Amino acid sequence: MRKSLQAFFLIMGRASVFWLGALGVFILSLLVTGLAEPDRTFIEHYADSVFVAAFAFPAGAGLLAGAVIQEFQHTTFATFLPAIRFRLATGFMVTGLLVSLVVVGLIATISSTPHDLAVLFAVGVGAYCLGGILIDPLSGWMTSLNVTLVLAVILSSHQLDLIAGEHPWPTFMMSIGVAAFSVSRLFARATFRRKPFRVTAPLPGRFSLEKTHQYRRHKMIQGGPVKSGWLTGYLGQNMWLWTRAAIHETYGAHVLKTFLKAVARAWPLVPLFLIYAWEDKGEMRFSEALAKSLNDALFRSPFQPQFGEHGGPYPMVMIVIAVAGILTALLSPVALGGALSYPLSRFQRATVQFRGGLADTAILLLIASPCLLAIGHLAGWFVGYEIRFDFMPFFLRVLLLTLVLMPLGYWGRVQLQEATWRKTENKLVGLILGICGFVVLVGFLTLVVTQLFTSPIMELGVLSIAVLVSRMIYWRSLVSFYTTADLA
Amino acid sequence: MNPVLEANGLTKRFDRVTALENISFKVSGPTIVGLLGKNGCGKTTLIRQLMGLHLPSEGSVSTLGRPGAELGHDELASIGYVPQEIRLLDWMTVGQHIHYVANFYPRWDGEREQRLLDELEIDTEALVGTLSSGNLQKLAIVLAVCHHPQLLVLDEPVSDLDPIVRRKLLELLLELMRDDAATIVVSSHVLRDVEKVVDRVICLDRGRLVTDAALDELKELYAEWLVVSDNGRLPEEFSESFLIAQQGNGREARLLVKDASTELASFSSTHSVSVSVRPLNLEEIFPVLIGEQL
Repeated sequence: MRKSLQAFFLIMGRASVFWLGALGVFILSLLVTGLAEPDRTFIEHYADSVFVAAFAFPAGAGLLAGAVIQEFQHTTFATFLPAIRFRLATGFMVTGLLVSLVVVGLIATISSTPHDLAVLFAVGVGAYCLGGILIDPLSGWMTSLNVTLVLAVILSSHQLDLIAGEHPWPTFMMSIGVAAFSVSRLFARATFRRKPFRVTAPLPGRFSLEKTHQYRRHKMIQGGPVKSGWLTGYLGQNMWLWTRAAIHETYGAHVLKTFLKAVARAWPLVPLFLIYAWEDKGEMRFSEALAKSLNDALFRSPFQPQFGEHGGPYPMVMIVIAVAGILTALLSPVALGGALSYPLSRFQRATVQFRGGLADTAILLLIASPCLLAIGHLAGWFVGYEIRFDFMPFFLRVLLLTLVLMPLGYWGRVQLQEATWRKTENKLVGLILGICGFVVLVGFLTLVVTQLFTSPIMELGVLSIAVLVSRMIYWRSLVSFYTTADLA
Repeated sequence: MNPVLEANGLTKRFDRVTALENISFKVSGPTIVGLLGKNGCGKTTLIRQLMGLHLPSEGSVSTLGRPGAELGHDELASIGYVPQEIRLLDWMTVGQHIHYVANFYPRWDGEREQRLLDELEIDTEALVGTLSSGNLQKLAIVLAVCHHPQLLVLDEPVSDLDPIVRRKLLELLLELMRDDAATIVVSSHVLRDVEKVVDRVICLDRGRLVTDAALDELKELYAEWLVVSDNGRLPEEFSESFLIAQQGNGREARLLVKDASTELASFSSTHSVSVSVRPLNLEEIFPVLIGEQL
């Protein structure tokens, strides 16, 4: 037993697992406490906070443990260790039982509503084990089915809670059945056999960047050859062509295909949505309530009415634009480098890097922002709202401020890829803090700018100049960096 | 005595590609077998079959007396494996990683571990993710041999090692065979190294087994004859059946011959030539085995 636990906990005991766990607990706590507050969302008609807590916390723990085990299975030595399956399964199960016990204990302490704790415990164990196979790096279809199942459980948790109350033993047995199936799948000999030598995306950590590159290259190779006529010719000194080549190298030739494949894999969500779409709980149908919530959150929920005359802050719009901005910057293509040697000077690499950022910005301005507006309005139209534009000044203000600050994200990306932050021990924490910091900064500056300007023309002019100045500073820094630093 | 490795009519297909076709052999230890072949000929696929990672499309394969797919605790505890592509736990230090793996083996030899770490100059405090490919290969070798494996399978184990470490590794293989009575399978393109240790050669070409023989037999079988004419003129072409390939300039010729030791005297007298025989090394025999003569 000691050796089994040791085998499991030695691969769990690292900083990234701790931070991911802490992040998961934080998010799930928000979800459960949100559900526990009455009349805040329409979801409360569907979800029972106690049942969701009993299900989601163990499922989250199982997801994390399963991810670590699956990462381990993808090494080239794990399969050949004697008794590895038994030892890991023992550690995994002991952890699952403990987590479920703690969650049920907390529910019994905090919740005043009566529940059969033994059933909730079994639900927790089942959820934990299901979490272990929730994401299968080698089977996108299995992952989408599992995610749909989890969503279905959360959306049906109110009913499931009632069923569990009326039929405790069948619920108990069903949960144990799910647990047995999941464990047998996660630790099957065939699972261990097929995982080595398959490249997968790693858990966040010091070496995750290199591994993620390997994974993405692997996926690109899997996509097969592509007819790219422009790539077969000599690119010469045309830096826009080299920028295109950098985008090609970063994302491969199958971006659209990969995106469509990911969308197609989400098909189980369609029947799930259709099942709920016409269900009427309270004042409106599920689909209408969903659309109304989206439109309200984006365009109809001014946070502080006192800013109204200047276009009040709409927190969701602000968060969505700021997050889209920082993610766009962080995911931007990096100047050509890595394994291949290109006939580009350091200055030219800086140019390619800078222009890649311009391409991203164009996507954010011309595609992402109009799409956000269109989706929000479409949702409003679906529930009979009139299209309104009073939030537009605020929308533009946030967008421009995001553009002003985006070079911070680009700079971080370059540092992460090329130099100082490359060997950062815990990139996940840095990434989360960086994204949160960016959103807070955009929010803070939005409030300042809202108070500062009374003339919209003046505001537009100043912010546009700020966008240009920030890009110029970024360009100068980039050239200085690329011409003087040790590159990866 | 049960064979350590056995394949009977082993065929492996991936979709429409046949990676291995009707492979049959037996290996009984202790011995060192060299698994040779060009890139993409099926060596790694064969090794993965032996290790139970891939399952046969047809035929069967057994390792330590059990089908590859059914290798259990006892067999795995007696097998060491160094794959061509090595992926370990990057975030552990070398020392932690060795400790982790050692826990799984009942016969882990701490002394051998320490000796190898010293000889191969591996820093136990270094993070595995920071190791160079050569040091990663050394670590994988340490992980594969310290539990006294009865069967050791090495897939391109020396590709990233410097000549000094390569020599040490070859000495280690001989020690393993001597002390542990181990059976060792080495797949490698560095034939000069392989030749120093292997007893037997299994050669694959395009998924088919083309040679399974003792190295000494191969060396006796193939040779190069350096032929000089006694009267100043050689025929344009020799037509003897034991000839595999020939190159010449009219006065001198190099002939690649197979199983021709008894023919030497009659060949000399028939053509009025002087012949000096040069034995071939494995690097020279290899192209012949896969049908690509000089």
